[in-house]
Amino acid sequence: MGKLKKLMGMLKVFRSKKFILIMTAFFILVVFPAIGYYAWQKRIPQKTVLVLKNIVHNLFFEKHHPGDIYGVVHIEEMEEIELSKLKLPEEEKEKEEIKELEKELKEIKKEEKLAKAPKPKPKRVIKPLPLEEYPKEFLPLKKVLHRPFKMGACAICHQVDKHGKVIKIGKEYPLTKGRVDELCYSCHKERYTKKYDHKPIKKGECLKCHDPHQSNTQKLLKAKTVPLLCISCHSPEKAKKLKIKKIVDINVKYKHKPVNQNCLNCHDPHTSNYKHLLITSLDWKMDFCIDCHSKVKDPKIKRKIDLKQLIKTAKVKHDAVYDKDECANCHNIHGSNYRIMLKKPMVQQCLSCHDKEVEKKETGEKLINMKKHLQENKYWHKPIKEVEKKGGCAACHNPHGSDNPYALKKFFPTEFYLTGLKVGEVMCFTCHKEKERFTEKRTTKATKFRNGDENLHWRHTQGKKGRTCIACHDPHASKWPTMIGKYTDFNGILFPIRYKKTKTGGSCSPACHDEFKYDRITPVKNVGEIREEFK
Amino acid sequence: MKRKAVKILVAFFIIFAVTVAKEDKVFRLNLTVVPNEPVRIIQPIENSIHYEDTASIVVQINTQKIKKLEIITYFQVFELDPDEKLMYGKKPKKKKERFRFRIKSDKGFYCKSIDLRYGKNIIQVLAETTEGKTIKKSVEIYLASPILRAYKYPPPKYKEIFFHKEKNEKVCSQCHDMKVNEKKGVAFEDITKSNCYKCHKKLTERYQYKHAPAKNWLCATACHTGKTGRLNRRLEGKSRFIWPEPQGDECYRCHKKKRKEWDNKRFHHDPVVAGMCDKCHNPHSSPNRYFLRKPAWYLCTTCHEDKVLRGHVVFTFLGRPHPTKGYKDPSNPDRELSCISCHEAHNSDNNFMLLKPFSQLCNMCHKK
Repeated sequence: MGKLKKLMGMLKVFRSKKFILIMTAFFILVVFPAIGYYAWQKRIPQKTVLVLKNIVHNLFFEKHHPGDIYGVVHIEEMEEIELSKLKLPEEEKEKEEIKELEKELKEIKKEEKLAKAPKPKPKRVIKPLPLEEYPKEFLPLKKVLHRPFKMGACAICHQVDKHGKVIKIGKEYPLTKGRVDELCYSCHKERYTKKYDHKPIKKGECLKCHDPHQSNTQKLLKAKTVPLLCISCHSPEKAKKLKIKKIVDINVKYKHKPVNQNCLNCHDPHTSNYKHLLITSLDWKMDFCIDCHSKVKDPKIKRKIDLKQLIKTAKVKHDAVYDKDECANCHNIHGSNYRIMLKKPMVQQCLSCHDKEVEKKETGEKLINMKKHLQENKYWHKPIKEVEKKGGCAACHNPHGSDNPYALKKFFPTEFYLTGLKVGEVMCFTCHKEKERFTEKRTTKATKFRNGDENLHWRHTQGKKGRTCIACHDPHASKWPTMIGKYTDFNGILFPIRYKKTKTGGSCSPACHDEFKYDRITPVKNVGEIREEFK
Repeated sequence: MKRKAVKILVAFFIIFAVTVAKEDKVFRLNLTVVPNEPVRIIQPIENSIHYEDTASIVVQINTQKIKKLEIITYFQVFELDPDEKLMYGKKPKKKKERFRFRIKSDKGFYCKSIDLRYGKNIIQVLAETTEGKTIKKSVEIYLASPILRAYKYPPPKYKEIFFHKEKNEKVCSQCHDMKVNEKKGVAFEDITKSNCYKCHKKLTERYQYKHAPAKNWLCATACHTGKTGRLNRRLEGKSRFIWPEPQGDECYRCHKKKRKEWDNKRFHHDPVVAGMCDKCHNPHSSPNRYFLRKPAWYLCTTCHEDKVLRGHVVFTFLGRPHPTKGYKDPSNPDRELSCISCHEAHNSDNNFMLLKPFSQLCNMCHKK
């Protein structure tokens, strides 16, 4: 019992004032800040009380995440685990082994190739005949000589008498074999047996292009350059006489560079496995053109566009690019008299298809009959009217396709209202730069479309429901010089505008409102005007 | 044997003919060109329900027997609600209206479009014969309303009968061209060329605010397509120009942009979700802004009655509520104060379908 009494005596310490002071100080200075700090770390904004409850719960009962109360999954924790740790070490090893094996295989193959390759033959040097021995017809000698001719071995081709002289019967010199091509093939052993043949080769007329004795050009050609040789049959005038279907016109204003330099850039003159005697295995239509036109050498040069990206990734596609002849639908590949090597002048070329209602293949959308539209209306948009100055249809549209609606070159909204757009963002402002029309509320100069001094252009384009240019204007053709259209397109329904003109103003009554008038000199008050908010 | 078979066949045929005639009796019109009776009302049909507050009357007479022709329309007028008074304010408050025709000797049909009021309407035709007798004939029709509780469900006596069927149209085709002459998606340059215009022109010409397709007479191609919806399957084939109900999809075909905005919102007004745009908006024309069937405050309180009875928003110490009408809207000085000045009618991201969150809403008017 004495011991117990002693222990009870110890408890007196708790009652003493000193101890209580020390303990309170301890709690205030050490424990509360620690709890506060813990709470601050685990807090959820605005709901600190719940968090404090949660801390108690965590410390004394079970360990849970504070987020469990709300059913919140903490993504931050999930992300802390690095993904690289999850990978198994065996996979990496396998990959490295495979790489090493591939390297070894490559080396082996290289060695095999070197061993198989034939050794280069030593060149035979041929001594030319002295000039005196040539017949007089061939003098003076030209740059390139046929080898037998150079050696003076006439007997290989021509029939010879006992003295070694060529026999002449009438005007002809008879050959050792009946046909010319048989004679040529006896030395030049590459027989031309591919899919498509050049017609002279089918007939065996080697001498149509080549001179058997000598020439100033390489390969013993009869003309000065390759294109000139090809023209001798394929020019439009001669092709008519010889009844050849394939025509190339080189004497044109706009030339295709590779055509002008050398026909052999693309064609094989003898045979080929591909259509039109082309060299490459590429399809002769689009891929063939893109092969060169997708390479942009200098980004500063604007003319060269990466066509491959433009055509294949465009959102709005032009069907003519994918139709039967692809690029050749509009362009004349060998060159033409009209800009950009088109078959016809710019606008006429476009109207050759758009002279009827055209249906888009992808969307089934119907495009209007543009030729009829232009014929019916008197006033045309300037790019269409002055084609050479302003650029025709291509001034606004990109005929190869574009990411913007209607295949336009720059941004243009499709919706009836332009919400959140600023002045100058729409494509029309690239040419029509008068921004005061749409920024000044009251003017007497900026526009003629005003009621007194109230700017009606401003009124139609401001606020929540500002309208696009297309709502009132027709960008192609119109009855009025101000290019006001016949219809407004509101979500698929065409409502007539019914525009009328007077000397100092006009009026219109579309579906948007009743008949409203405007006058520049004496302003008109219209019935049922729309309030500020819904202009 | 043969005779028996023939007899049975004849009997079947008679039964068939009678049943067909019985079915036809419901929607039957008297189509004879020169009637035995001197006066006959062809349209409207007895006990039919109407939805728009105009109706056209067609009367056929025997021109040799009749001198004078007169129409009287009786309205069933109870004491008007305050909001109904606003609607009928400009119209005459009489219980009946009169109209007298001028009779020509060669004209057998006479047409006239008249105003209707909600509930029962009786149309009486008074004709005076050459002998000096007066003939009285009358037709009873009912004008129903989609929102007014009293006229929402007409009594069972009245039936949904429509005019535009091939049989009925033969009568009018002597004078009127009954074909649809609209192009799809292209409105008339000259409105009066529309075939609908001649008979139905009062639908759009009576009021100030006109819905664009109705004003341009794109009736059959835009809305009255002859299709029926989920809620009116029962009427399929009853009329050439029946419209689908709910008509939401028909509206959204043009108002695409609204739909895009609304789909992502948090709270929705029930009729909007159901696609019943017809309940608040009149698709043809209306004296009120946004083609509302009544002025905004009166329209909302037809359904949300408790807001009027109890008061709305906050109260003073003496119990007076915050005003909801009768003042000018301080945030929008051109407009009257109404439910729309705080609430968004269709849908909203904020609680109570408010225009803005609570913290910003009060500041719109109470600026300090």
